[in-house]
Amino acid sequence: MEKDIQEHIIIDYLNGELEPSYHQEVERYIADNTSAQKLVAEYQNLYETIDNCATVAPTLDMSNDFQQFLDQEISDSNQKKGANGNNYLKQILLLGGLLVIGLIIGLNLDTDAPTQLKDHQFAQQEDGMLDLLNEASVSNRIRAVNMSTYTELPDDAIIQALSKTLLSDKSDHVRLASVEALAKFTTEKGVRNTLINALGKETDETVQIALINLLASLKEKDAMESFDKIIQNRNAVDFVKNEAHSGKLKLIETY
Amino acid sequence: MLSDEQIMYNVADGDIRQSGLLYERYNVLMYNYFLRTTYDQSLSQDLTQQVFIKLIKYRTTYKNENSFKSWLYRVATNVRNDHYRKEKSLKNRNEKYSSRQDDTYNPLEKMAKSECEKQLHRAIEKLPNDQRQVIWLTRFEKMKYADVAKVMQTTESAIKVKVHRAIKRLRVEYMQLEEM
Repeated sequence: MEKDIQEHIIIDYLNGELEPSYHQEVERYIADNTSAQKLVAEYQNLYETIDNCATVAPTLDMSNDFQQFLDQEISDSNQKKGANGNNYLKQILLLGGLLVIGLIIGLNLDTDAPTQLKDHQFAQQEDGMLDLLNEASVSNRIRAVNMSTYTELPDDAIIQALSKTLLSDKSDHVRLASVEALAKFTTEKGVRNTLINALGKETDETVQIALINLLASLKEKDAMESFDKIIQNRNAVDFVKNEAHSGKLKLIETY
Repeated sequence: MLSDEQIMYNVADGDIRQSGLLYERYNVLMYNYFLRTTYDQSLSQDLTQQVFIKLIKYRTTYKNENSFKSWLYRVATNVRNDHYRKEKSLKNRNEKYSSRQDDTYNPLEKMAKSECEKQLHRAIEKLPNDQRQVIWLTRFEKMKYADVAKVMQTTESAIKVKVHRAIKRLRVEYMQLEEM
């Protein structure tokens, strides 16, 4: 038997991979062949050494590190589960917040705003409002925005001031108030465009929802693209996406 | 006692805590696998950690696996290959080991109980990386060729060829050291 073939057969023989009849035949061949016997002995020696090899234990640090990682993963996993519940809580709180802000604005309308309007003559109303909008105080800027709701037919200056406020005021409360103020003047196409632009830029979830709801109630088809952007935005919060989706469905109904 | 597969399904379903059981069962085995293919204790511990980190991170990818052990070794093989790819040191390491003269470098030799074992580690060290892996899986771990084929993502017949080549070369290296 050729040496190379002999070695292959011996490996299979020692690994127990030969058919029983062939196994016996190879066994007889080995018994009669000294070079085959030598090869078998070498392999048996090698296999025995392998089987007797000691297992090496890792240091305790490795287990400690893994346990630390596992604890962190379990903690993160629990937080994620909690966060899902928190999203619903946050949604409820936001809606509640919207109601409270609406209520505050409503109370201002009933008390402070008419007084302010009385103090300023109609001719001075615009100036007063525009001045207040530039003030540092958030409450004064909200008051200014609310004053605009008493003007039945505001001129361009007021609409522009409200639009500017919606697009650039630092306070989300002021921007929210300006959405509600502009809601009164949505017969103007320019106002609806401003609302759409604002939705594209807005980062606060409360204002986003107010804009989505307003544009959806207006059945403003041009808002569709902005709704889609929110729906597709990976960073957008789920409940804002849901609002955008339901707003989109309202727009689709109008087609 | 729950099987490895059942525990892993539970981990995949979100019961991460049970991965601790799999760690207990397999961390020494994984460490020895890496140690016998890299000869670096610190690196072997790091790679073992990475295997179990991946087990947790990618737990949801464990689906319809007949053998958890094969799956784990596949993860281990990927971890090791990724490491070498990143370090671009596979070639360097092989060169370093094949030309190594310093007997004290191989930690397994230090830990060996007998001269035969030291000789075996030196012989294995002379093999290329894939042959070391085949030797470990088939001779140390006694895995079936079909399972090794899954680990190395090849066919059973290709594994049989690799095993024959590896074991033949190992015998030659081992016997040469014995004669010295």
